[in-house]
Amino acid sequence: MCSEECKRATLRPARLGIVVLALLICASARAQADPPEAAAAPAPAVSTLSLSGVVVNSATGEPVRRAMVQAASTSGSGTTVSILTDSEGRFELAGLPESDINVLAHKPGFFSELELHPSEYQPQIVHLKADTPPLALKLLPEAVVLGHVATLKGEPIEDTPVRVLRELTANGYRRWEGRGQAITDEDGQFRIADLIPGRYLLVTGPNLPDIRHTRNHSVRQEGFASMFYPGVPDIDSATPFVITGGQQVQADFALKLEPIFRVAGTIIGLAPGSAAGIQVATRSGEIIPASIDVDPQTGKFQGAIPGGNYVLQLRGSDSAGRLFATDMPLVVSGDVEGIALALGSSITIPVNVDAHPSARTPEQAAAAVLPARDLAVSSVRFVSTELRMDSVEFQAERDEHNALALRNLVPGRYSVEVTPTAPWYVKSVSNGATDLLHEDLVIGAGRRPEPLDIVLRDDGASVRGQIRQDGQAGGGYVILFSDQASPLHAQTTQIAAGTEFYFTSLAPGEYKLLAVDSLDGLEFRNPDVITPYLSKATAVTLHSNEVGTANVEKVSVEK
Amino acid sequence: MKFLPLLTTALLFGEVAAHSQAGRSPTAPVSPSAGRISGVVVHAVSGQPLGGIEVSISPTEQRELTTDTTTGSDGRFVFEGVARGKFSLTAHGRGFSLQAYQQHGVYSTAVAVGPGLASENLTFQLVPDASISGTVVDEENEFVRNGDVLLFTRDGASGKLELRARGNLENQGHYHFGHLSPGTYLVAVSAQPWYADSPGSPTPQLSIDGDGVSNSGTAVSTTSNDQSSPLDVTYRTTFYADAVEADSATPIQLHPGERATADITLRAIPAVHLTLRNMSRDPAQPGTAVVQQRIFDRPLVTIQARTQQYGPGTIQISGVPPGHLVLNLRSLSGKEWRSHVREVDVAADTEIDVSDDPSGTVTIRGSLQIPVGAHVSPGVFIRFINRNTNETFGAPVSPQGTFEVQQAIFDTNEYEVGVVNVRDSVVQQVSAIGAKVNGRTLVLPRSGQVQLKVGMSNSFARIDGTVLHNEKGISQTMVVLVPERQEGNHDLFRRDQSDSDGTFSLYQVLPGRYTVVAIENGWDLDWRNPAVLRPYLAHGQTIEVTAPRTYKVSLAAQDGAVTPNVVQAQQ
Repeated sequence: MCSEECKRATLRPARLGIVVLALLICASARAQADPPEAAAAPAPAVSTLSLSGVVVNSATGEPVRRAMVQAASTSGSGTTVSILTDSEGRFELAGLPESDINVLAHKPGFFSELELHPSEYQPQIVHLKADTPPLALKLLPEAVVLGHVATLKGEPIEDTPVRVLRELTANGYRRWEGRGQAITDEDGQFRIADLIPGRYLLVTGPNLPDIRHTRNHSVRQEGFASMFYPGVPDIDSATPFVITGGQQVQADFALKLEPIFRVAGTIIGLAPGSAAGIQVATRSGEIIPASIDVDPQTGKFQGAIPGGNYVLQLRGSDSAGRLFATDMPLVVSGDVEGIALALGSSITIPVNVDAHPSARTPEQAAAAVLPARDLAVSSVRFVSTELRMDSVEFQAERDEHNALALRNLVPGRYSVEVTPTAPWYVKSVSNGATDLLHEDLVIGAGRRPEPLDIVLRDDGASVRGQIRQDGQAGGGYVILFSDQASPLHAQTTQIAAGTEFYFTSLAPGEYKLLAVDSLDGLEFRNPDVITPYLSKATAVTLHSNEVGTANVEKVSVEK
Repeated sequence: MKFLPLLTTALLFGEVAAHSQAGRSPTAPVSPSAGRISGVVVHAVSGQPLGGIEVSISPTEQRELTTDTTTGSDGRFVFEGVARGKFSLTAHGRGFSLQAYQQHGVYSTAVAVGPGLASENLTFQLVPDASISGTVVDEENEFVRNGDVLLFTRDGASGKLELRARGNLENQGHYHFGHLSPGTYLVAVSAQPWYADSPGSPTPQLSIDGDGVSNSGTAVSTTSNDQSSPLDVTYRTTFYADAVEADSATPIQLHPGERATADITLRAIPAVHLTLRNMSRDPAQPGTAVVQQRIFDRPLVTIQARTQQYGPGTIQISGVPPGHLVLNLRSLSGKEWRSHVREVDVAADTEIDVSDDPSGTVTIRGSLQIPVGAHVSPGVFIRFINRNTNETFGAPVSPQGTFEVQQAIFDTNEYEVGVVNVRDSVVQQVSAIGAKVNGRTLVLPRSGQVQLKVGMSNSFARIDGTVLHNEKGISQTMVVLVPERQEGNHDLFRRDQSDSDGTFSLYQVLPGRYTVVAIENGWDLDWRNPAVLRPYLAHGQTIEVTAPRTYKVSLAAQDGAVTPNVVQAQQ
């Protein structure tokens, strides 16, 4: 219940001369009938305006009571005032100065624009004047996934992890990001709240008997393997489902009891002072909680997992502190013993950089400021392009002999991303006969990979221009695609309305430029997604040491 | 037998025994005079046989050699070809957490196998798991989505409430404690309102005068509650059903298999502010303060308070409920970091100068004598454990065996003396100048100097015995070894449970005069209470332990359900 005190707007001169105000419109019926008395209270002359409005549930249109509204003056002392909305979702912040005010509403169980789109959030700035109309602030309610996990006979399965993965498209890549998890209770029930709208996958399990239990067993142990909704073993065959704001989704699992197989072997080359651990990952990169015991003295290991396709991941460090990583694909359909995991079998790919200044007159050469050859490449990264549940990335590093290489790689399919230092641009990246500007780098297990050859040049081109929208210079994002490289290597920039974009240090050749409102959710690095839009793109041919111009018409894209 | 679940995760290799398997009767290590362990698993309440229950046996001397089987629909289990010896018998299944045969706390009855021993037709009563769950809402009936939930259980023997588990509120205000055994429980929630804010809190943008003293010097005073902001609020730690004092909490009587619900409502109250002065002279290193609250005398709740640097050497803590608080402070005095604890009762905003310490400190200096041949690991540490609150402090012991510690003492409780990193040895003697010694516990003064001498021993005796009832071994009795002088000698007590043949073992017994008693149906007795034990001591066996050898006793079982009543009637 509300006390008399809390109905009254309180005005409190704070320490250090900073005036801080706070008031509460009490969420009781009496308080509404009895409007805040702040107006009656004497206030400093500079802070006489009030900002009022309502917070609404954007899924239902209903008011949101007890949401917190925070207003920060963008000028002056930077004072922030906070208030809770009343039972009608209304708020009134009194005693504010005439100024630009940044207003934000939030409440647990709801999402504000800032929480829904953190990368593209534009603060809501209100210029507060005497006649500023009431605001309507929107909050989207959380979604909930709930259900139960049971055996085929309908017996609940307890202590089983359930996770939701949300499709996340950021920087043109699409991947699955863990968004929440729960453990089933005694009745096999789970509940995962706090979900934002989007496309989701649901995965449960595994639920394996404790390894201590399986160790000396005379009886074949059984357990439950991982399963994606609606009942498939791997991420590629899983069916994503769309969740909207405020939705409650019921998703039940029926798991089959499967035999658990023994997996055992030896780590070869484990020297005293080194440390090693083995984890089991699914082919989609998910680490499953099946513990593998490693005896550090003998290097022997053993564990128990259900049948399936896995990757055994050996991770550790030697006595000198050097890290090592070895991955071994493993198909389990019975007990697998005598596995040999070699410690020194880490995959290393050396990087050769060919950075030759272009032909110049002696005067040009003297005037040209080129970074040291060693600094021509600021980064070389391998980014996994497989649809994985975690993001796997490797970066080239120099060793004590200044040799650039990617070390401790694990098998997989990667996009190779080379970032040169201006004015260098990437002319080509190859690995043996593979052109890595067009194709992915595939690293297999056991095969000795060839070095990465990077050719850099400094006679690059530039392109500048405006985003055109309805005959005017607009703001937004420009995506630059090179005809000499796959969309994976697209570049982007963001500009404000009326300003120009400027891409520099580009390889001479044909380009396509696409202007969009937002990159959020746009998988522009995927050729299948972006190709239909490239016909609407602006084409431009760029020449060495020249600045091309292109005005790009904004297109609308479906996400 | 003392029964402890296998907690070790370090596994040894090469001990995978190849056991042959014959139908439903797995074979244990075979010996020429092999026996059987068999019986039926029943529901402890209904008595109905339970099928699909996994039953395991393992030799008590080699617990990792497990053999197991699953009960049939008639609840029956059989282990064939079991060697002579004692076996731990455990069972678990869906809805039934792992339990040992006739388990009482950490004790259970081991099954003795051999000629003339009854190891068949056992009835294994399995107690179904219970649970407590609930939803925590605020006074406006909205979920409290963040907070700590504490589950306390009443010890059947001593009646004391002990912390059993901690949980978190899930994002929709829900908590759940599963796999609970029947008993008496309390639930408490500690949380902060999500909207809590302390307007008027000083910002870090301070103007610091030339002499390093801020002009904020007089800013903090006690403000009356009607001036505080409606967002400057907090929750008190609240017990089910609706109590802010532990004494008014509603105990939950949890029956076997029960799914209890305990919903709790939290109500926001004006928060108080603590201003801590002289925390540090270095503005870059303001010091830290962790605020805790005592529950059942123990500092169990850490308040999620907000701390702000307020000026040089001053920090302000907001979001604190009024009441008794424990402040764990780390302040910078000169260049030395100082960790100290202050206890305060606050009713309103309070200012504390941490440089004056009204409680004072006691300085303990002393020497530790480690027995010859003891296994000493690096980092020998002496510690003093408050018998009432289990709060601990201590000091490292030098290679010469000396130690020194300074400590603020808030109550004059008894402290037990313990030593860490000296294996297979226990504290045998404590003598002190400047403090009272009671048996082997220490009553520390609030201030002053204490000179301590602590002697350890690794010279233990062992007592093996048999509990008899009508000349036959009887299982499941509580065996207690009681030192002649009980007061101050709590760590000389030893306990065990008699196994299926009536035998028991008591280990690490120090020289002295003891009485052993065996009490049937005695597991709910408060054996720590001398008045409760007294009637049984008269019928116990007295043992004078003088040498590190094995002593043998046999004693008659007394009935714990009857004797105390008789004695009380006589009084």
